[in-house]
Amino acid sequence: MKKLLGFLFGLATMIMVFGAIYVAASIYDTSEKFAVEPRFLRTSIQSNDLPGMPHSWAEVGKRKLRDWLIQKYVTEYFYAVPDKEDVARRDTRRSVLARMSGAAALEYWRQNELPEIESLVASGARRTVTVFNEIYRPAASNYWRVDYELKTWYKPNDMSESPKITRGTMYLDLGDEYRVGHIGDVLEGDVHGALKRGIDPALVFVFNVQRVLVEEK
Amino acid sequence: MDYPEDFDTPAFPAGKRIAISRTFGVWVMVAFFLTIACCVAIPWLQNSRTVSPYVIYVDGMRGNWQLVGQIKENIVVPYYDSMQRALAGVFTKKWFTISDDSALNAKNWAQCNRGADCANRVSNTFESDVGCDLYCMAGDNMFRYFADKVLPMYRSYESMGQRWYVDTKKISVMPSGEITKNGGTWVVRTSVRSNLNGDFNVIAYVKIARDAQRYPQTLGFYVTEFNAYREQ
Repeated sequence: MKKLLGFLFGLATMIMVFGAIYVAASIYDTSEKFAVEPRFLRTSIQSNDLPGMPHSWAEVGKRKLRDWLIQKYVTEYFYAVPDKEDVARRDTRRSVLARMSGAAALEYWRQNELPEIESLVASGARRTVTVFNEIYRPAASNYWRVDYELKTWYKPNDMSESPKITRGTMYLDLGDEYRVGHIGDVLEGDVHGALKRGIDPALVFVFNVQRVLVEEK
Repeated sequence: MDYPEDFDTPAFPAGKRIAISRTFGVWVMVAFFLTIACCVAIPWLQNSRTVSPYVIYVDGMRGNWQLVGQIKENIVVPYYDSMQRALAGVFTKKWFTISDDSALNAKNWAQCNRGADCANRVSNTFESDVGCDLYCMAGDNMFRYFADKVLPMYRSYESMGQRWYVDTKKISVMPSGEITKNGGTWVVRTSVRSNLNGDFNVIAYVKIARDAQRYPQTLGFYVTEFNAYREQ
């Protein structure tokens, strides 16, 4: 009888232990750690006001992400706002443009575009950039072709002024096949952590322009 | 004990049972330890679930990439941030106001005595019965620029019957670069309602500086540069 009681007590203890392990394991399953993917929101190109639908990384795809990074680069390259400190910031090694550019591309910008941006800012002008047409790399070429449109307002505080529109084509060397294949990969470990540290979202992804050529029309 | 006939007697007959119960006891302890470890892990795992969703906003028109939808805990808006934001918004509203009451326009655009007329501003709108609203918020060079370059244009608009009002429901004030206790540059986007031309959107870059002695009514902040453009 004593042995039977001991056996039953042991069995009950075993059942309780396995029950507790089962409960703990099921809670573990439900509360499993999961990575948070960024979602991308983009407004319609036709309107300032229309909110776009947020898309996950997988839905956006690497190709579109690459196009957006190229658009970002072209915008950083040309835009001008009437703020001298903004120009000074752009000419530092920590600027968005500097971190998206190789040494040759940045030097080309300093030589060819920066003086014009400085003179625009000094006169109170503003310039915006839009990329239009498809971004592609012609066969047997290292350069990606980007068509852009610049709108420049030369007279601040004159509401009757229409901006002057100029168009041009930019050729970007994004590196060899290996580099192009890795565009859109995450650069800074995890996106969430990088963004929390205040890094510009565009800098979180692998993207680097080696050389630039600009052709104005 | 029947020695020497039965000498194959174990030295300690209960040894096997004790060994089994000890082994059993050790394994029960191990199982309990694992259970407790699992229970300790539960709060940690529960906490790890609280992630804040975030969205990267890619602006095709202006080329900005921004982080939106991030809930930041314990946000404290410093006084200089909210004061500059208010000043940038109100100044833009006043700048784009051409009333059908010409006396009101004259008051709004008037140059006054900074010490006497600017001190008693209503705190939430920076307005007063005296007028001089733009002058009291602007630096001297800024107001001179307004009086020389912009005011003649506004007077001609006024004489043509042009009326402008800022749609205060559509005004947004965002920082452009770093904002400090000594000022910064703000981007104001708004929509201006015009009786002759319809509504049009404007974007204004408002640079704010600080001089605590001369502008006590705004904690020392004043507009030192204002560049606005009509969006197309």
